[in-house]
Amino acid sequence: MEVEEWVMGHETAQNMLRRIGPRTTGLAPLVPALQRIVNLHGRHVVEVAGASGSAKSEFLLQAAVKCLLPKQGYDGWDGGVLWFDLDGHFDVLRLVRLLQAHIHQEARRRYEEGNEEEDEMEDGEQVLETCMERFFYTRCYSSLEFISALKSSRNHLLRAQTCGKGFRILVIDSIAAFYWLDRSAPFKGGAGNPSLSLQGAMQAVVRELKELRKLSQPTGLLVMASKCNIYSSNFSDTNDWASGLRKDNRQVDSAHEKDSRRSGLQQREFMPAVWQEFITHRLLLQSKVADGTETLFSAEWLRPALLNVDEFTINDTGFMLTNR
Amino acid sequence: MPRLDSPGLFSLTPKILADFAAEGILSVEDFLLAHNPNLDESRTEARKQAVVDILGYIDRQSCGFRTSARMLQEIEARGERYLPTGCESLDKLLEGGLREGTVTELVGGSSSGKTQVCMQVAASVAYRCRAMVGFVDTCHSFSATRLSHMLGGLVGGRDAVQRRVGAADEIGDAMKSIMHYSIFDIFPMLSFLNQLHTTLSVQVQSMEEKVMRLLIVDCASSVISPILGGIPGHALMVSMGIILKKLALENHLAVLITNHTVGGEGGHPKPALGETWKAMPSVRLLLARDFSSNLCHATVMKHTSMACNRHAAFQITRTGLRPVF
Repeated sequence: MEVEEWVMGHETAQNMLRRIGPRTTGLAPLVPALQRIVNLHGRHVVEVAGASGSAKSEFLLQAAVKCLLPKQGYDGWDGGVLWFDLDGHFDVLRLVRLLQAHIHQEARRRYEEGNEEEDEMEDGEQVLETCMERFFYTRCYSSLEFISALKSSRNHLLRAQTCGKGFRILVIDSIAAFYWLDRSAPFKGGAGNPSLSLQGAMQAVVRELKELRKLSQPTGLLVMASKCNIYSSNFSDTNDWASGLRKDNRQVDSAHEKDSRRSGLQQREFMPAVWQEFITHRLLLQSKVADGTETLFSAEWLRPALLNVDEFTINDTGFMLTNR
Repeated sequence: MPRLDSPGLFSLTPKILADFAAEGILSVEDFLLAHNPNLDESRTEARKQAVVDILGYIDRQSCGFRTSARMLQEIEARGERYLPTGCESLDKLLEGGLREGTVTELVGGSSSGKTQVCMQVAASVAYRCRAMVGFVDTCHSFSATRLSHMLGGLVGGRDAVQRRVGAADEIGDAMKSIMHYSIFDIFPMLSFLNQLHTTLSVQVQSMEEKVMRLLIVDCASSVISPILGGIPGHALMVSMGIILKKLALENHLAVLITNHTVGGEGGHPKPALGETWKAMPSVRLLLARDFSSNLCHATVMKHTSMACNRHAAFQITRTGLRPVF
């Protein structure tokens, strides 16, 4: 009877909250700098923007590690990660080091609290193994390969779901990797026949992502994408396509206006509208060289627009907020 | 991407193909990009089967998903290594040398020592690792004489009379494993790199034959900068970046490229080729030379897994790079 009711679709808000609430609320924050956004969950799409070397990939990796770690004891999400590497910068050894650092930290904390020690080490090895088995990686060298990979990831998604441990995060690093290739693709066909243009490719990507998200109900799938800066501050586009796009968006989206005004030309928006409408959160990362060899990074939420700018450094276990 | 009828899927009968063609879907590419939402909840059983088969074909064609546990096993099985640069201070800076599977870029103005580093790395990898080295020369800066001097420095002994017996053979052997290619244009460059990728992918490893483990492009920016400006130029640049990355990641080469500098804001020199290219290499080293002390300084500008802004110094001598600590 219960199943039948559920299949029929209609339910009260209270029922729905009771059903999906435990799965979406009460999740630990993925990254300390993300703490300002209260509750990221499976229906959100986060874009991490920034120039090369502003710790975008590191940010995504930190989030992935938190997602992989078990809930019990490690305060993680206990879920799988799908990682689409379009930039070719993923380093599996770095992932292992980060996971080990988190596991060691936890083991040390427990030891200091006076719990037994010998069992913990074995436990740590096991945790690492489980986490490594839950991380799925693929590499793409063109937009078509990317769309193919998105299509074939459905099977993985469904398989993982039947095992009980579904994917919680889908990472794209970086979404703008094939921007120039797609823009230079010859435009053919009319409205009914989409060609491999930037617009067409992004439409297909967004459609596939929505499909994947639908398949991973009820937890949903948090999409996190990095977006590398394509334009330097003095690059002028020949047909000024991007600035025309920006103008359009400014009328639609007032949050967007703030994006472009605050960050200036350095962060001008260049992705098609279909992608921009898809994302729900945008974080801007920047790097500043501090004294000595220490690099200081800053993180600022552009959507939703928050006034605070967090500054952080990176060490072995993750991001360390600096209070200034 | 092929036409729909070419993979030879049995479920794609002429009738089904005609159905797809009526919707404008002629190739696998069209199938991927088609925004027909009821493509999946199709009308007939035959059509459903066709969609499943095409998805299966796409799945087989894509490189597939691997778990990170398997990636780690693969790395351990392959024994992914760091290639020594032949200069201890640079090795220390890079924590072991050039890593296989990554693209390293040297940035520096004219006569900052880029080519010297490239040749030293080539000599070191050819002699110490006994591997093949591809040296793509785009601006006539390669010198076989200079390379033999550097190899002499590695083998030991400044002159022929001081060297031990057999040293000359070792130098000759190392010289033979450095392949030199002169390419001056973007299109021959792209076709060469693609060809190399194909050759290395089908190559069967044998015990006697040396394998290529290092590819040097000196200087990469001089074939790219003439075509930059506008969308097609940028697309060509990205294509070159992608094929270099493919060589590094799929063929497990260490790739070393060089880039020149241009005047940036306020007259300060900055690396050429702009923001898009900046995201391409995994490691970027800035070279600067102090002519009064004859010291070269290398600074880590970008590194995907290590801290940046660390320095190392070396001197360029007749027998190669001499580390200065």
